[in-house]
Amino acid sequence: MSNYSDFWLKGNNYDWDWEDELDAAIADEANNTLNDDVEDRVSENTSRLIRMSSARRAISNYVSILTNQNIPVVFNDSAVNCTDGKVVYISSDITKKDNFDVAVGLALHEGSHVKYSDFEMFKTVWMNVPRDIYNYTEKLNISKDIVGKTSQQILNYVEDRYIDYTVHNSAPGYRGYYDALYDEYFNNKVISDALKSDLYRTPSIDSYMFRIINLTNPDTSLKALPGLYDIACELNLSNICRLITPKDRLDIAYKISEIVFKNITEHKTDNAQSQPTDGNGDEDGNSSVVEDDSPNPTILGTASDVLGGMESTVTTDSSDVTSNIGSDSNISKSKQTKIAKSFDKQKDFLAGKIKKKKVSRREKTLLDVLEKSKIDLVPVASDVLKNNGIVGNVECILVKNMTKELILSDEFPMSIAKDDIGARTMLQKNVDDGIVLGAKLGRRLQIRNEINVDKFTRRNIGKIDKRLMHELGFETDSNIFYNTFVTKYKKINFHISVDASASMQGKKWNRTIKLCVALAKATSMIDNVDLTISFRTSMGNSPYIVVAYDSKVDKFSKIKNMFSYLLPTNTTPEGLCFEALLRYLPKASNNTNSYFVNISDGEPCFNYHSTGGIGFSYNGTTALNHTRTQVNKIRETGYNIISYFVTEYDGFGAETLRANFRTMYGADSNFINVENLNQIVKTINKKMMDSIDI
Amino acid sequence: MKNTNSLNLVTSKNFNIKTYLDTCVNLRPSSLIMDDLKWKYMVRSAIRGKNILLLGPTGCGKTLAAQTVAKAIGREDNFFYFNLGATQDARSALIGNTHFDKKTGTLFKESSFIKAIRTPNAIILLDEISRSHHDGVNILMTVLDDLQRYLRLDEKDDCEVVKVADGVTFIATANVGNEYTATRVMDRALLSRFPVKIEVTPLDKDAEFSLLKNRFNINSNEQLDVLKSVCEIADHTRKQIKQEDSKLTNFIPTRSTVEIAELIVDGFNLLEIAETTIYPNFTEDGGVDSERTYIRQLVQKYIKVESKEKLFNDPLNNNTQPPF
Repeated sequence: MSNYSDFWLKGNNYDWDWEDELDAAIADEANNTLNDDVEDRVSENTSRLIRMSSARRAISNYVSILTNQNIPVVFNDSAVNCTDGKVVYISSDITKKDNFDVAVGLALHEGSHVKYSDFEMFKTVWMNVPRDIYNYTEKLNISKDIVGKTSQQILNYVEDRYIDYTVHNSAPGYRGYYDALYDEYFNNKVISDALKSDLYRTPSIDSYMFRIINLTNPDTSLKALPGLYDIACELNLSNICRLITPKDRLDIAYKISEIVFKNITEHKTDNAQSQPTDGNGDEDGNSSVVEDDSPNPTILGTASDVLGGMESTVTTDSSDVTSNIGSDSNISKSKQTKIAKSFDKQKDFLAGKIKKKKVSRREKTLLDVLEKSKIDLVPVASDVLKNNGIVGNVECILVKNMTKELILSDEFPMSIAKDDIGARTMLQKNVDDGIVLGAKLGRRLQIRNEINVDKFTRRNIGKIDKRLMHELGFETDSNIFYNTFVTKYKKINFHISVDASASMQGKKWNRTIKLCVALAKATSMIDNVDLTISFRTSMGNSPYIVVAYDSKVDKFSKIKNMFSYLLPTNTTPEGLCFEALLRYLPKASNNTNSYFVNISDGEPCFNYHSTGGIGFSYNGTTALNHTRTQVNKIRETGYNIISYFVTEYDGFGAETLRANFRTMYGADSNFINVENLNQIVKTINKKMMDSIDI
Repeated sequence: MKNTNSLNLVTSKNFNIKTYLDTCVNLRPSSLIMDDLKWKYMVRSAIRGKNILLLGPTGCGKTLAAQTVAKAIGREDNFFYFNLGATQDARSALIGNTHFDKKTGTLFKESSFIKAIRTPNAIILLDEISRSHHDGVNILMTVLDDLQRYLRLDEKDDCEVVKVADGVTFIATANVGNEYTATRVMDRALLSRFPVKIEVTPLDKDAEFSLLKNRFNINSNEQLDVLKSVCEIADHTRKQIKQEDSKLTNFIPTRSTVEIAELIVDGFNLLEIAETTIYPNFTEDGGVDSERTYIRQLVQKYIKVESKEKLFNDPLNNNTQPPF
C-alpha cells in the first residue's frame, strides 16, 4: 500500500519512522547479529507514545480540515465508541504505516458524518417505519424491533455511501485514504469469496444485509437474491450524490427495507405453500434446525404450516428470518468463521461501532502528559551514524514545556525520588537562595527599562524645527535644525543550556540551579530580556532536552514549584542535543542581542544502539567535532556563544579537558571554579548593560 | 440607471431617495462583491454626507468598496484618497507645511486634505485610520464632528478656520482585531464620529471564485479547477482562524488570491502555487504540529493522487449484471 502521508511528512523536514519499519529493521538486524541490545531501548515506550501523539494530531488536522470544526480526536479507551458528532475515536495502533492510512480514512469517514449526517434523524428511524413494511412483516410475525433495526442499518449504509462518495469526489487528495479504508472493510478477499459462494443466497435479513453492504464489491452478483437488482436500482450508486438531504436518504432506506421484507415474506410464503407440514416443522409453527454433516452447519429454517391463502399468517422461527444464510459445501468451517467475522466488522462499521485497539489507562495518562508537555522526537546525528556505517538517525526527545505531571511521571529522567523529602528540601534551598540573589540583581538591572530621549536644537544639521523657521528671514546663518537621541537598551534573548549529566551532581548542581534561578528572577523584573533555560541529558537510547523555563510563556512561579524536583542524571550527548535545539531556538534578529549560554562540566558522552542492535559510542574526537559543528551552526544563526566550564577538579587530565572544551567552543570558552559561579552572573550582567542601542 | 447622472439626480429637487435606493443595486459593478443591504446602506450614507467607517480584516475589499461607491454615485471626480497608515507626519499631511522663500520670507502651504474638505460633495477616503498616528486622529476630531466640521490652520498667520464644505462624505477604513499589531486602539470619541459603521466581511469561496474567474477571464477547466481549490483553501483558512482553538494564526486574504489567480493564468499548477505563495505564510516551527503541516494537509486535499477514480463499483454499470 502506498503511503499518502508522504505529501505532508516529507516536505516537513521531519523524518517519521513508521513502527512497522522499525520492527522490520530490528528483526532484520537481529537475525544478522548476535547482539541482544534490542531490549536496551529504554526510551522506546516514550518514543512510541510521542509518535502516537503526533499521528493523532495529524489525524485531528484532517478531521478539522474536512469538517471545518475542531472536533476532538482521541484514542479509544473504552470498549464501545461511535461517532456522536462530538468526538472522533481512533485506534492506538496508528503508528504502523498501513494502519495509519486506514485510520485517516476512518477518521475522515466519521468526521464527514459530523458534517453531513443528521444524528437526530437516526433516532427516529424506528418510529417512522412506513405501514407498507409492516404489512409484509406482520405476516411472518417479525417483530417491530427487527424491522426498525434493519431499517436503521440500511439507512446507515445509504448514509455511509453518500458521505463517502461526496468526500471522495470533493477531496481528490484524500482518495488514497478512502481506498485504504474500503480495501480493509469491503474489498478484501474473504468478502469477495463469500460473495461468489452459495452463502447469503437464502432470503433472510442477514443475507440481504450482507449482499447490500457489499453491493460495491466488484464480485457482487445481483442475481444472488430476489429483489437485489431492484435494490441496486433504488440505490443507484453511480448517482448517489442526488440524495442531498437526510430525508432523501431516509426515504431510499425505507424503500430498500420494503423490498427486503417483501421478498423475504414472499419467499417464506412460497416455501410454506410448497412444503407440507409433515417435514421438519411441527404444528406449533416452530421451525427446526437441520444439522447435517456438511462442514458449514447453518440454520436451514423451513416455513411452518400454511394456514390458508395469502392472507394467512406464516409463523416462522425468527432466527430463520434473520440469520439463515444458506450453505456452501465448498466453504470450509474456518473460512466461514472468517466470513462471519468480516461481516460482523462491516456491521460494526455501519453502526459506527468499529472495534479499535484501546490504549491502556496508563498509556492514556502518559499521552495526556506528553501532549501537555509538547514533546517532539527530533531526528539528529545522521551524519555521525553514517560515519559509523549506520544508516538512520538518533531520535532526540525534545520537551518544549516542562510540566509537573511530566516530572512526576516515569517518562522523565531528571526527577528526584518522589519520597526523598531530604533531597527536595536541599534543592528547594538552592531555588530560594537563587530567588534572593536574583531579586538583588534585578533591582540593579532595572535601569534597562528606562528610555532617555534628548532633543538638541539649533543644530546646523538634522530635522527642521518648525518653531525656529521664522528666524530664517532675519538671520542668514540661523541654525534651525534639531537632533533627537534616544537611548534605550536593546532587547536581549538568553538561552541557557545546562548540562544535566550525572557528573554535575553535588555542589556543581546546587550552584548551577541557584545561578539559573537568580537570572530568571532578575530577568522577570525587567522588560526587554527574554530568558530560556533548558537542561540536557539522555534517557535510554535518546538524547533528552527539556525546556524548563521560557520567560515568554511561563510564569516565574514555575521555577519555584518545579526546579526543586530536578536532579542531573545519565550522560549528555552535547552535540546531539544542540542539533535538536537548533530547531527550537528562535531566530536571532538585528533588533535583539541573542546569547547562547552553555554550562557544562566535561565532554560529550553517549552510548547509542541502533534499532537493530548495532551500537556506537558518541565520545572522543567524533563527539568533539560534531559538537563544534553544531556550536558553529548556532553561531551562524546569529547567537553569541558564551560557554562556561564548571569544575572543582584541577588534577591529572584537567588540562586535556580544558583543551577539548576549547575545541568545541573556541574563544568563547570560560573556565570557572565551582566555588566562584557568581562570575557567570557578573559576565551576563555585563552583557546586559553593554547592549545600549542609540 | 446611469451612474453619471447620480449626482445631478441627488441634488435635484425632484430627487426621490427611496426610489433611487431601491434600484441602487444596479450601480454596483460586478467587481465588487458586497451584500445588497450593506451596499444600499453605504450608498444612502454617502449621498446623505454621513461619516462612514468600513471595518474588516485585511484584503477583504474595504478600499475598493469606498472607491466603488464614489464612482457609483458619480463623484469620482471629487474623490480624494489619504492613507493615514502611510503618513509619516500627520500635521503636514492634514494641515500643511511652512516653507521659506528668500524674497518673501516664510509662507504656509495648505495640504491637499484642506483642498479636499473645501470641495463640495467630495468623498474623502481616510484609509487605514486604525494605523494613524494619534496626531492625525486629534486633527480629525473637529473635522469629523457633525456639529463642528471645521479645521483650524494654526500655522497660518490669521489662524484661518476652514469649514468642511456641504455634502462632503468621509469614508474611513479600519482593521479591528489583535492580529493587526501596528494598529492603534480607536477610542470611543473617534468611533462615535462615524455614525455609519459597515462590516466588510471577507468573500466566501463562491463569490471569490466568481470574482477572480471573471476578472482574469479564466476559462479552461484545468485552471478553473485550480482556482476553485485555491478559493476553498483560502476560505478554510479564514474560517479556521475564527475558531476558538484555531490551528492557524494566519489566513489567506483576497489580496493573495488575486496574486494566485494571476499565477494560474501564467500556467502555475496548484503544487507550484502552494510552494510559492501559500506555504511561506505559515510557520513550520513545531515540526509535525506546525501550521505548515496543517496547511500542507489542507492543500493535499486538492492534489490528485494516484488512486481509484471511483470509490466504489456500481453493480448496475457492470455488463455482467443484466436485469432479470
